[in-house]
Amino acid sequence: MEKWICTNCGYIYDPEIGDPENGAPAKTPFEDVPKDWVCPVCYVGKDLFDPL
Amino acid sequence: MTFKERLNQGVVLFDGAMGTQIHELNPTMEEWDHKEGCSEILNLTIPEKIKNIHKAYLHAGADVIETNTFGANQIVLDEYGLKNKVREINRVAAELAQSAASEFSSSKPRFVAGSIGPGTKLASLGQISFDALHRSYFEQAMGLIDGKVDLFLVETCQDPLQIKAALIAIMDAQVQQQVSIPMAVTVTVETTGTLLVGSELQVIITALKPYPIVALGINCATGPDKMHPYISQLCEYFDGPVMVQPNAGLPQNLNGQLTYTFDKNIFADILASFIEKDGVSIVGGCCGTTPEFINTVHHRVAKLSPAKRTPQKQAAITSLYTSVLMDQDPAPFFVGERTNTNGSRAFKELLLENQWDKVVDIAREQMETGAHGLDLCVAFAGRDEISDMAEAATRIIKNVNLPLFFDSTQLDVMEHSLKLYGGKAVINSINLENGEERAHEICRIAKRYGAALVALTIDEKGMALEVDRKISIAKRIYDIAVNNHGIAPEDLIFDALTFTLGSGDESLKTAGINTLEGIRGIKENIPGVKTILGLSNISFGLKASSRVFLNSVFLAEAVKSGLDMAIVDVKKILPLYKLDEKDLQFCLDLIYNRGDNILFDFINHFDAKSGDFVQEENKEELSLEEKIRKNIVQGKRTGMNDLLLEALKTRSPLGIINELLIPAMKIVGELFGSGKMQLPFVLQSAEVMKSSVDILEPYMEKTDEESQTSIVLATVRGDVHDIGKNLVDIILSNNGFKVHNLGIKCEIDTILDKVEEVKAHAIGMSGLLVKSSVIMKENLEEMKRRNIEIPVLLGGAALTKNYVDETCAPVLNSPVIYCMDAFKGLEAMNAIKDGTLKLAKDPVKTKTKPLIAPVKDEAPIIISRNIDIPQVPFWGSRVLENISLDEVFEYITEEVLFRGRWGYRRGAATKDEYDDLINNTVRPEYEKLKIRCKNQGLLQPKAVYGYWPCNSENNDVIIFKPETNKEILRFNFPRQNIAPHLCISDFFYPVDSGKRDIIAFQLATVGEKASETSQELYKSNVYKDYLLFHGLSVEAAEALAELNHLIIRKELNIIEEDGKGISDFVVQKYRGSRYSFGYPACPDLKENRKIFDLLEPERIGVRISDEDQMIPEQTTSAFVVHHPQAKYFRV
Repeated sequence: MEKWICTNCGYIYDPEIGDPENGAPAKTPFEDVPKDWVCPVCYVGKDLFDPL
Repeated sequence: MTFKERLNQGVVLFDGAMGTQIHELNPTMEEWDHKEGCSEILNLTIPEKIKNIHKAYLHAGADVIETNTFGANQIVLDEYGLKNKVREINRVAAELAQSAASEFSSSKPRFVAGSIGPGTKLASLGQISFDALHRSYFEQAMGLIDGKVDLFLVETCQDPLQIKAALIAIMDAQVQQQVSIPMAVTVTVETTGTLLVGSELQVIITALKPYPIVALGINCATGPDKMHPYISQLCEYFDGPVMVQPNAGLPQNLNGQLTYTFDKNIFADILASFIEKDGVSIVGGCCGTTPEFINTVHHRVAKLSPAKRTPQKQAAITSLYTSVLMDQDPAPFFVGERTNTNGSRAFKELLLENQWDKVVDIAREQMETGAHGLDLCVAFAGRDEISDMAEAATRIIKNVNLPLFFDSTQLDVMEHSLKLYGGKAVINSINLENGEERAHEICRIAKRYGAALVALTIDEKGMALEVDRKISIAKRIYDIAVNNHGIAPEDLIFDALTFTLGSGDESLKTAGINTLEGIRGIKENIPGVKTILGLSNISFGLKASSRVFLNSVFLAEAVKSGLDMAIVDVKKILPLYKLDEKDLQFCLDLIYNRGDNILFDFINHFDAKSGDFVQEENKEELSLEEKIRKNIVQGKRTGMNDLLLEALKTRSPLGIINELLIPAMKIVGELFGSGKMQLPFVLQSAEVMKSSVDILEPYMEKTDEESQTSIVLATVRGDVHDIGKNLVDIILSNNGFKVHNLGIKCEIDTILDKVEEVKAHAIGMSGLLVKSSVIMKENLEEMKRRNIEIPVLLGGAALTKNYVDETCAPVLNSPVIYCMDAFKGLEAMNAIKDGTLKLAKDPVKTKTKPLIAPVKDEAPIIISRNIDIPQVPFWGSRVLENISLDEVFEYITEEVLFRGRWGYRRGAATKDEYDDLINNTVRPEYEKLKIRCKNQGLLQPKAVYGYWPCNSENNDVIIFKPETNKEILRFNFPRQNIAPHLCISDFFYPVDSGKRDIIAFQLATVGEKASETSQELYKSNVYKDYLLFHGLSVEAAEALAELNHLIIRKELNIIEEDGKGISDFVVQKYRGSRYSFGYPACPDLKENRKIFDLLEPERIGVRISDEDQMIPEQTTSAFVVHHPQAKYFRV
């Protein structure tokens, strides 16, 4: 599973860890993270993420 | 004191306009001697009044006055029947000026400059011959010498060929009268950025370098306010004093009178800045300036000294229009060989049939295949070489933008060719075959017309085969050209000669090695000179298919040995990566003479290869349309001008735009959309698109703008961020849409008024701030109220598709589209144009989760009250200056810069492909840009930060005056209305706890210059540079804030709790969180004013706008909370 980076602030989404507080349990591939999920640091949408 | 001595002593002031003053005199018909408009006759009819004008300027403080002889050359005076009075008028005018000057020379030395204007005909356009111009100026110069001028000013020049004719005429007149008088030149740069005939300023700098002029400058055309780019170019590249004589602004038509309205004080201020900032050393005025102006300038500049300059040295040659560096990167400079009767059978046949237009086509094709210059040879037994050269050269000069190498063995052909050439050409060639006397003759011609020379290593004994002879002949020619005739070393281009390796001749087996050694030896032994090679000789006699390989490999070897230029058929040079290892090995073995039967093996190897290469070649013959499309997609501007002009023969300008250019941009959009093309390359394509439309514009009938689909574009109220919106403007306007870009901070009224005024088809709103997304929704509500229901495109970093679809779209009955990037905007605009844009279906009410999932109530966050309050190093604020830019750059998050700000996203590419892109393209760009920022001072990092005592009271954080209990101000923070109901104030000890807490504030900027530079780049349509620079400047401010943040945490001694590496930073694995207003935990930008009250950042040049945003844009402010539990959250 690939890590994705927020192109606005540099936060890295690591599927191993996920973002459990925001609807993405550990082991969620980025593609399966909810559509309305936003960067937990700077709050931009999924569109602005890029595979690392 | 001579003028040259005066020039060394500091700023020199010239006078102002003569014509304007004569106009004021309003001479009678008698005084005009019935030759109204011939200002020069007034020197004879009303000498005292002319002298009074000179005296007025001398009185005003001018060091130099110009004679009233602007049009006093033979050609202009002939129009008034005064052809026989040229010498007399010039003499009298010079004497008048001298006698005025002598009356004022007691206070300081005064000088008279003989003014020589351009006349009325342009030689480069064939309106007059070089010889006629020369005669005309020669007479004038003779008269001015008679009248004892102190220098010549060849002024208001519009054509480099005219300048050369004037300078040569003046030098000839001086030789005849045995005097030596300095010469200066000023050229007129039109609003198009070139001289009237189309030459760029760099052409003038390069083409005049061989002439002994004491100063070069610009005059006339515009006011000083429009001149700065050209002034700085001159100061950067011209190796001598720079002068400037602007008009008093652009003339205004007031009641039918042309009037100059520029303010004299501003005029003087701008000239002063040219002197102090750019290093200009001679100033004065042109049209519309008066003694009053000159007096104002005199008082303003008298005590100034010009800034020190270190002009760049560049070896270059030029076409009529552009200057081309001899040192190409990558080397070599390619000289196209096909416009040569010896090099191309096709060319020879066209010449024999006098098919001159097709001759031009051959020249143009070579430009398109990548030649940097052209060898032109028309010698053919039985034909008139001079007239053939004139026929071919005049057409090529005007139509093909490449420097020419005039290739002839005849002196008269060389000289006649150069008389047609305004730029700096090359003579091909000089050698010692017929002894030194002939070499001297050729050097005289080269020197007189300012040409460079190709020098062959041939002497009286013949062509040099051995390395030593190659070098010693080169040294002999150098001695003649440089030491005897004063030709610059870089204008000598040595051809170390090459002989075929294909003959099997024993004596030629080492010819390749000798040539390479010869090149190396010449470069090592004769500093400063250039080298060239007629490449294809190396493979003469071999089969065409193998020649391509041998030539290409030999060229690569020669470049390694120091070769600067090569005469080749560029189309037939293969990049080495196209060769397989065996091809390469056989070529290298033949060149370096390795093995007994190497020639035999070589031939066998290449015979065995099929004719693939030739076929592949044919496949690459693209049609005109394909070439245009390819240039747009690849972002290549070279040759586009000619391609478009060619296309105009069969298509209308609008047809070209709609059928070729826009479809090409569509490909660009698709490549971008599929992640195969990165944003900076897209912008490069858009630049080519823009310049292509500019080229076509003069050929278009006035388009009916109303028929164009149009959009009003704005950054919404309270938001100053414009890069995103400008990118949308770039993409839309280069795809055939009319964009009304209203700029930043736009009230909805302004937007809607514009929509009604221009009857726009759509509105585009942009904004970066979180609150801008709220304002967008309010704007939609206002549209609804005013019943303006047209499609709306929304974009900006704080928006998400869900927010637009679910919160914004339902407001209006017209489509509201979320545009993730500029191309989504383009897609929407195309749909509007085609009438296919549909209202989104009723938004499906997906089960939207709250952005922050509610934390279960049973786990409330308890903020510890058992935290040590760090010791502050000082109270109040401190300014951080002299921060090294290198240190700032270290804190840049490259991933964000590259992927976010610059848009180099990996997208669909593999990791390896992406790494290649980063390493081979992005990183070099980044390094170059960093250097540019440092050298030109484009980023000026400054910061101010400090510490204050504080406590919380409910949602407030109270700031106290240090060491007192006096409240200075209080921040009011919002609280989450969902669990865990956090508020920033929670992280501070309450005011009734008895413990005084602390808070840090910081504000960092990279300066106003960064904003200005961004705007300049955008306005100059260099879109890619704009994106890259703007992105770097914003990230540099961010990096500086990061650095300052680190300083604060170090000073508070909470640093050991930091996580590791940059990725830990962004997830806040450290103590001492930094919050900025406008972000989710504290969205109210107004609170920034309080930070301003505390830090007083006006000291470092930062202001706050009415919308509570900081100016310049490249500024960030924040406060730092030391509590370990303080992390980001959203209210």
